[in-house]
Amino acid sequence: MNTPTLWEAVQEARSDPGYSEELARRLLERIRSVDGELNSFISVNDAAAEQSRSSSGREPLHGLPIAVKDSISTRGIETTAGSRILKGYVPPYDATAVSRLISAGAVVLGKTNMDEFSMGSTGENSAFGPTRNPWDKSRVPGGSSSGSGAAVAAGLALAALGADTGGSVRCPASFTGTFGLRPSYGRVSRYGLIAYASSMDQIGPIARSTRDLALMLSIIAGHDPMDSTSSAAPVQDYMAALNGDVSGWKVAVVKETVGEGIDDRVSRLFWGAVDAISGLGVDVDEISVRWLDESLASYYVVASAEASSNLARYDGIRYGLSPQHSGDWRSYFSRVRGEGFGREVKVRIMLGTYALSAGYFEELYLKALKVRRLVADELSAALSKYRLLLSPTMPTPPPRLGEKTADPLSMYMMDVETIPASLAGLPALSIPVGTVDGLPVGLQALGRRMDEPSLLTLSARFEDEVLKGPAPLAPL
Amino acid sequence: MSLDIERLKRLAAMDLSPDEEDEVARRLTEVVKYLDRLRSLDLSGVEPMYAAGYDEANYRPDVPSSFDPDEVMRVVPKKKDRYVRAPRMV
Repeated sequence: MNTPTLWEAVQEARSDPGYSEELARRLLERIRSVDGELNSFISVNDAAAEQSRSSSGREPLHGLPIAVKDSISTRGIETTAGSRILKGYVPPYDATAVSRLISAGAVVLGKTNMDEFSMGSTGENSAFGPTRNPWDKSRVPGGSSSGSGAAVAAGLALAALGADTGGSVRCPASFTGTFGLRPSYGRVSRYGLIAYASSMDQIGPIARSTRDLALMLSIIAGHDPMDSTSSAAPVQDYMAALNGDVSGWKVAVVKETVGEGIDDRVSRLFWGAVDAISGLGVDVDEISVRWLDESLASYYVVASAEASSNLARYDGIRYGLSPQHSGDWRSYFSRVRGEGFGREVKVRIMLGTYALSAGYFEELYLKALKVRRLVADELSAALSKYRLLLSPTMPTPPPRLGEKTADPLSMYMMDVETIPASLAGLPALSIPVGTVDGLPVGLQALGRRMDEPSLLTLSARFEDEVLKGPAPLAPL
Repeated sequence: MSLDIERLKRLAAMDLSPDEEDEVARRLTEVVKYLDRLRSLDLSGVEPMYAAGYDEANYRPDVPSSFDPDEVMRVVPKKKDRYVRAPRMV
């Protein structure tokens, strides 16, 4: 079966009332036959085809099935955030992004695998087993939205929601050869998103075409009274941005993102893509942005500090894992959390606890927040001169399973390109630019706050003029 | 730089098995060593940035929501009638 893009499916469903149900049925069959190896889904909604049938067919998505990262709450469908501590938890409500998709006619196909509580860049930290990359099953698909990237690339879903804290949409998009968008902080409601680091978490789409990203963003963007950090700024016309022209634009490659530590093969593809962008009539400069070297340390202090606070709610009392233990309240909590959390989550909670504890708060946490300010100011200054900043999305092609797991710093270093946008709350989009040795590579475009239209315009022109069409399915 | 694992376990309410404790301590030590680079920076005069990119707080009206308590109670693992059962405090 050749899975269509979301937009192609929308066109088919518009003229054929039975199309969505048939497609949902085919996707469920395909998941059953090939996902045993990929492990891109934690749970599958067996009722998806039936729900497609009951769609009125008049909404923009016509009952088409969409996959959803397992950290995004879905009413009546188990939601675990990839953690044993939430095994069996069935939310009594939908996240706003999900309820907006459902109102637009979408059906939830299933919940996609992920690094536990979004902590990881490889997709190996899930309590439900690692996800594999459909381009090469011995390799990781990137994280933390590993299942969303793998499912879309393998044609198991038309499009998927992911969530991006330090790069968790862009990294799997790069490693699976798909398009992935991290919207500006506040552009999409976080209501119902299981929190990791609240000041950076943001829901975003992964798909095989820019048009699909624009369509998904058009539906999920906008102010939500249930999230006080969601922006009241009007939602722009993202579909119109697809027809924009890039000639005469000024963009810049950030020197610090293409130097030491970048795989030569990634560099070659990246510069080839930059030449192609230049060929679209875009002026490309090279610039330097200070403080980027310190952004990784800043991110891991801030994210871990926020995680240590956010994950304090998992105590085995109100929902999720609730084993029988005797003892007082504190010893019960400690035992449940010891049993329920995986190793990487424990490291990050304890790291955050350390950074916030007496004696380290000013030396580490406050300094990390000050570096965050400097990074954001530097990016803002660069973006006052240039419409977009370009870099590779990931410094390497996807590594083999197990290659990064024993060495936390080596895994954290993978996020060096994606973290600055997260710290500054800026939108960024990963565009697939080709493969090296059969492995996908992505280019990241980073834009001004709320300027998702420029990201979509550049991505659409690249897709049309250079890629000559949507991203191909992985050769399963 | 010093890591007092016992203190961190207590503060984070986190049990670790003996095997796990060695591994977590090793990883934490390595990461904290890397993060030490922040300590040497002179950042006096720089304002910390707690959140990115939202300038206005969009608070909703302070009115009770219509959440159905029975539906919420369905996810509670241990309960008695409409109460959440918790371990003994003392």
